[in-house]
Amino acid sequence: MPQCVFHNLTGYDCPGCGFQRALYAVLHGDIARAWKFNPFMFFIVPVGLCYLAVELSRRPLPKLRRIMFSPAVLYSLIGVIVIWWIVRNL
Amino acid sequence: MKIWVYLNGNQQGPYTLDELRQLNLTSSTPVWYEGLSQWMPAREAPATASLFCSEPVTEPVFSGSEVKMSLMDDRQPVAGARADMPPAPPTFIGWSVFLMICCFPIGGLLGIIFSVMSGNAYRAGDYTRASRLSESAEWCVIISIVLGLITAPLMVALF
Repeated sequence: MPQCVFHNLTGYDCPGCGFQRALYAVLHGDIARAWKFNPFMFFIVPVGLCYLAVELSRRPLPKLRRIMFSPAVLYSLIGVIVIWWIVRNL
Repeated sequence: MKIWVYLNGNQQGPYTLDELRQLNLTSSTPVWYEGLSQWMPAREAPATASLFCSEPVTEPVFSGSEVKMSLMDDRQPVAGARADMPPAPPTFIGWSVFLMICCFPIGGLLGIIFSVMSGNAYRAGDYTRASRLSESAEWCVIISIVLGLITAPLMVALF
């Protein structure tokens, strides 16, 4: 399995560490095991898929776009990822 | 009534309805005037639809920019942007967020940052900078997708 460069260099976990192992577990039907590897992916992956769906939607969805694509929401999203990054390494 | 049109890759106008008759508008030429919430094909905008009623139906000739315009159906005149500015260049925020989370974090993150900066530059009235940043965001998205497509089969193989 590919190694995380950040983990190899620093010894700390990156926000995505365990993502592949978790995906592997999910694909084998073992949700509990996936949760142990990277619980964050259960929240953040659906968010990512929502953004892709809105982007690819044929309807303009102006209100939804204005909220989801606003800098405040985007920076909050990045903030949440950074917080998870810190918390998991405590 | 003042009507702006998007012809030959440029925003032109304002024109009156009579002046528009002299121009070679196709029914798909994007037009905008005060009261429209977004650019729309000339045949669909109430004020310009009458230009096309009496004409025989011809296959619309798309120039590159018109095709691009018709894809940007959610593009609207943005508050703060001057009336003589072309519509905002596309941003790639949805793609960037998805790629940041599911594919290639650094590329996606850069895509988000460039997209947001592009929007800010447009609102500040700097169209050249906005379109340059929009292009940078597009490249981040393309590179992220390519890297993702290269690494995905690798992971599947490892499983």
